[in-house]
Amino acid sequence: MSTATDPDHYLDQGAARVRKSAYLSPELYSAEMERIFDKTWLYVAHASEIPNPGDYKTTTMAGRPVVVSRTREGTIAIVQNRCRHRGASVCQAPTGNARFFRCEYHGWTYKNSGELVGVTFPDGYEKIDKSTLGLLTIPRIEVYRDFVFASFNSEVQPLEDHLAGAKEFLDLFIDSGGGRPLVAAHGTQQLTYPGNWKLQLENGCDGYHPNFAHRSFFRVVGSRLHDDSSGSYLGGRSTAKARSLGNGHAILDQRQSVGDHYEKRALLAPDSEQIVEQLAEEVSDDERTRLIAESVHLGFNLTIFPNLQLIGVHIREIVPKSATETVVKYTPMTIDGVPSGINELRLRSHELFYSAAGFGVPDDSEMFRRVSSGLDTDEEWLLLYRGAHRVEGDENAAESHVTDELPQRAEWLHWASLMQEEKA
Amino acid sequence: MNTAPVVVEATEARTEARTEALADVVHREGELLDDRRYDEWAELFTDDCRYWAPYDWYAPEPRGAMNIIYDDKARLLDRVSRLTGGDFHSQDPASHTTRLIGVVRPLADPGSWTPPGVSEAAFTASFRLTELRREVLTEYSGRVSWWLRTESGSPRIVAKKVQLLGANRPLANLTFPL
Ligand code: FES
Ligand SMILES: [Fe+2]
Repeated sequence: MSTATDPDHYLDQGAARVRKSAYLSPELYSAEMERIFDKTWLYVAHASEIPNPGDYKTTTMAGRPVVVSRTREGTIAIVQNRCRHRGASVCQAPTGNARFFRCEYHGWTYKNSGELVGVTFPDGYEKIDKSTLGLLTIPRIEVYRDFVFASFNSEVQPLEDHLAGAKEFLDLFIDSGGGRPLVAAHGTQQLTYPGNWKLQLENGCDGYHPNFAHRSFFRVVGSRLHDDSSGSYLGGRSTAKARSLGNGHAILDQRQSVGDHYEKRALLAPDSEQIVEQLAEEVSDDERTRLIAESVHLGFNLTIFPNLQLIGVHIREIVPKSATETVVKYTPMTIDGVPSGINELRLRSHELFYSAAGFGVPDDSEMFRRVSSGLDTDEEWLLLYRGAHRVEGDENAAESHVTDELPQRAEWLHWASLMQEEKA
Repeated sequence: MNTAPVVVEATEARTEARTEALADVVHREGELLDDRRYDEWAELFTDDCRYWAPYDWYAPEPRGAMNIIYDDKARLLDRVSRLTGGDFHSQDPASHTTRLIGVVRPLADPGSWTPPGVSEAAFTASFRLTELRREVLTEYSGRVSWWLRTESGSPRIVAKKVQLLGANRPLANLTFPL
């Protein structure tokens, strides 16, 4: 292995320091695609995006265009979006419903599960074995409670083993509907920033930045709530925790420190007076309080390595484009079967922080841009050792203060272990 | 439907003059935004206003949709407070914008959304906006619609809807008001 793709070259002292080229090198980026994105489980879709037989969405997996479909039998199929004849994509729309994918270049036709079922003017072929000319499929697909994961690696470990300690929090996210299903019924928004995908990975469970990067957010929220300590649940004295959950997964757990901040924040939304009045007739006081608070946030940020984060009410998918360009997809989830006011509050709270015009995420993107600019200086290292002296527990279930960089070190160490495996 | 022009007992010419005066406010609004005079911009909006920019061009109404922007007056003032109050990193440096507003015509088909505030007239126009930030020029285009009424003798904005071309594609930084 050349130095340029050797993880040991990039990390120092157990990921206490990371070399700047880890965020810049195109050669390393290609190695990451091969050794991480082609080898581990990737989040691909939420099953509610394709509820009925024939429903599909087009997306990408590690740079490859794919189509995720619901088959006639109700299972999930994923095919690579490329006709086996001479290469044209067979499905054009972002979402839709189709019984077959017909390549419009020369008319070859495929089932949505990939089988080639029709070749036009077949007498032009002396013999053709259609069974070997289906659309390329993805070797492993597992659906965990509507979360669709897939892997290009047929030897990949079972999904639940991969999820490790993250499963408990994925369950909490899914169960937040109180037995009602979460649905992706309002589309997906996409944001892009000119920087490496790992900047977003590190940021999803970064409890150190909110009081600074999001200072103006907390200022306007605080002034509406007449509370000048509105970011303190993530401050230096907060009782909130950062935890590593194994396999590079991590959470920031603010459930103990946030108090009634989320509930109060939810009620700042447009139309909230009308919504709350209506809700009083529709749900009990206890459930209303819980549903309103949880319309903002469940009290934890979850990162599932390498491309999934659950924050607020949304599913966030990290889509690396190149070493220095990243797209992030945000899909807010509503709850099927609650009064519509609750889902309105969920959408309003999502827009407030995470929209391209929102009061939160654009400031994160700005920091990624500034980091990317700083990487062009002579300084070699980025420091991730905050709180290393106060970590409790073993590597796969460690706990530290919410502002500590335990999650980032856990992500990088798992990154290194995947990058290392190919070494032998 | 409160979007149709009110019928007034007046000559046609007077009605037209009044409509024109109302429509004029949309150009003033654009200038205030381009000049970053955000406090004055906010004053153009009525207390029961809505400021809406959907992700989906065809979204029938805002409340049941995921939006780029859906502000009432309080949230619009929060937006202005971020723009004027400091620590707004994604506006440091600030975006400098210029916008071309096309021919402003009465909104013939108001669609399925009725803003909560009462309006006298509604107008629509295509727009093209160029943003300069950090030496990068970014172009945005789309359609903007305004619902207006006169309050204390001045035209005010009851609702503003911005349909952005390509809102579904990856966006970068829309933290300046559209
Ligand atoms: S490329 Fe698809 S049929 Fe020829
Ligand atoms: Fe952030």
